[in-house]
Amino acid sequence: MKQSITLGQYLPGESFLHRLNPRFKLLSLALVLVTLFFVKTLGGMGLFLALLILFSILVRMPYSYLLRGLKPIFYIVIFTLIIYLFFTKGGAVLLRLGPITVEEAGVIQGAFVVGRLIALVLASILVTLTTTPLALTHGLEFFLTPLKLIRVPVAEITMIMTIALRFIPTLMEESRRLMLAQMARGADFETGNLFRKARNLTPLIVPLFVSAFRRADELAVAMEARGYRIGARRTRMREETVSWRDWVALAASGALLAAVIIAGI
Amino acid sequence: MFIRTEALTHTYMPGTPYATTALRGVDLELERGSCTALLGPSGSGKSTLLQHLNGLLKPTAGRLLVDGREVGEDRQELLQLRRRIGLVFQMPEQQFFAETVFDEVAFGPRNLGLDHNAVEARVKQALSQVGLDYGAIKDRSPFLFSAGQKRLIALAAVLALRPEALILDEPTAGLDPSGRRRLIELLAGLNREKGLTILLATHDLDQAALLAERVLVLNRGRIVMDGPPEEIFSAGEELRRIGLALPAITEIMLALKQRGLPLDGAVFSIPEARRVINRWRKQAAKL
Repeated sequence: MKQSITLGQYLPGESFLHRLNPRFKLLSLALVLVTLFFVKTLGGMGLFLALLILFSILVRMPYSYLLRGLKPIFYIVIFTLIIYLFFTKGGAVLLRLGPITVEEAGVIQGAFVVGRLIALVLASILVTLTTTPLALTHGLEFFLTPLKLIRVPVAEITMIMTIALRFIPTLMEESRRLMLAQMARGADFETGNLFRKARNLTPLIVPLFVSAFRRADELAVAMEARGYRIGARRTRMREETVSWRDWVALAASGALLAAVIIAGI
Repeated sequence: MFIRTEALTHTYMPGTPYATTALRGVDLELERGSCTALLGPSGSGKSTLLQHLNGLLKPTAGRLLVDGREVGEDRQELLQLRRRIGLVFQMPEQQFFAETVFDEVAFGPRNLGLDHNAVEARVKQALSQVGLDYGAIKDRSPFLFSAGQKRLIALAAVLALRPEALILDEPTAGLDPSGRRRLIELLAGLNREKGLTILLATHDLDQAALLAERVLVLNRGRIVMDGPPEEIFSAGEELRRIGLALPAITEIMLALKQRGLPLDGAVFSIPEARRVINRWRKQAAKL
C-alpha cells in the first residue's frame, strides 16, 4: 500500500526558489520554457541543460528528487530516441545493420529533442518542487485575471481548485483509513480478476462518497457563516510580497531569452 | 502470552521529508481474557499501535507475536489474524456502505466465505450480543440510526467475525453519556461473560477507570506507564504533564488529600469517593 500522501511533489525548504513569489516564479518559468524553444543547435541545448543543472545545484535541490521527477518521461525519452535514430536520415552513415542504418542527422536530431524534453521537465520540476499547490493556484489566479473581462469567474474557479487541493490529502488519508478498516473486517482488495476487484471496491467508495458529501456540506455552511459570497471581492490572509529575488529571477529569465535569440544558438 | 510486541517501531513515509515516527520500541504483552485501557494524548501513537496488533500495519522494526508465533508476511495467516483479533476503528459507523443492517453486519462473515445459513446465524448472534433486535432492524438502512445505535451496529459487524480479542480505538468518541454508558457496560459484559480479550484506546480517563483492570499510558510513541488504574491515577501530576486530564472525581479527591483527607492511592468513582469521605467523617466525629 502506498504510504505517501504528499500532494504533487512539493518539498518544503527555504531555498531561493522557495522564497520566490509564485507569480514571478510562473512567469520566469514561462520565459525559460519559451527560451527553450528558441534554442536551435545541439550545442545550445547542451549549454541550456548545463545551465539548468548548475542552477539546481546552486539552489540546493536534492538530485534524487529531480531524478524521481524525470522518471515518468523515461520511456518517452527512449522511444523518441529510437524513432530519431532509425528514421531520420542524412549525413554520414554511422552504423549499418543489414538494411537498417543509423545516420548522423538522426543522432543529432534525437539528442536535441531528448535534451529539450529533459530540460522542459527539469525546469517544471524545479517549480513544482519548490511551490506549494496552493501557491501555484494563487499564481495561476493572477494570470487568469484578464479572463474576468469575458465574464469567466476566475476567483470562483481558483477557489474550487484551492478547495479541491486542500481536500485531496484529507480524502487520501480517509481512503487509507477506510481501506484498513474494511481489511480489518476481512475485505480483500488485492486478489481476484478486474471485475471482482472493482466490485470489491464498493465498501471503500460508498463510505468515501458519504463522507465527501458530508464534508462538502459542512464546508459550504462554514463558508457561508463566514460571509463567503460568490463574486465578492476577496482579500488574502497572507499577502504575497514581491522582493528583490523576484525581480532578479524575472530579469535573469528575460536576459536568458534575449541572449539565446541574439546569439542564435 | 496471547498478544505480544517486541520493540515495535513504526515510521510513516520513511525516507521522505514527511517521515514521522509514531512508535518507538513498544514492548507490550496482553493476556488472554484481560481488559486493558491504552491512554495517551492525541498523536501519541495509540491508533498506530492498535493497527499493528492485528497485522494491518507492518512494523518498521520490531515484531508482533500472537500465541508465541511471529506474525510474518503470509497472506493467509494475516487474513486469519485479522479475523481472530477484531479491530474497531474510530467512528466505525463511517465505514458503513451496505443498504441494510443485515448486509452491513454480514460483510465480515461473508468475507470468511461462509454459507448463507452460517452468515445469518452470525449476524443474528452479533446483533443480539450488542442488544439490538435482529428482526426489527435487519432490513433497515444502517445510515438512518442514531449515533449510539450506529456504533452498536458497527461493533456487531466486528463481533460477527467471532474474534478472540476486541481492540477498540476511542469507542465512545462522539456518543452522548447514555450511549457511552451503554457501550462500556456492553464491553465489560463481553469481557466478563465471553472471556473476550479487550484493549481500548482512549483519552477519556473516566471511561478507562470504569472498565479496565490494567492501564497503559502511551506518550510520544513510548509506553511510559503500565499498571492497575489505582496506581496510574495516583500519579496525577505526571499524567497532567503528558496532557491527560484525570477523571473529575479523582482530581477532587486528590485535592482533598492535599488538604488532609486520609487517602492512599486514587479514587475514581463517585460511590467510592462517598465511602472514603463518610468513613473519614465518622472518624472525625469520634475524635
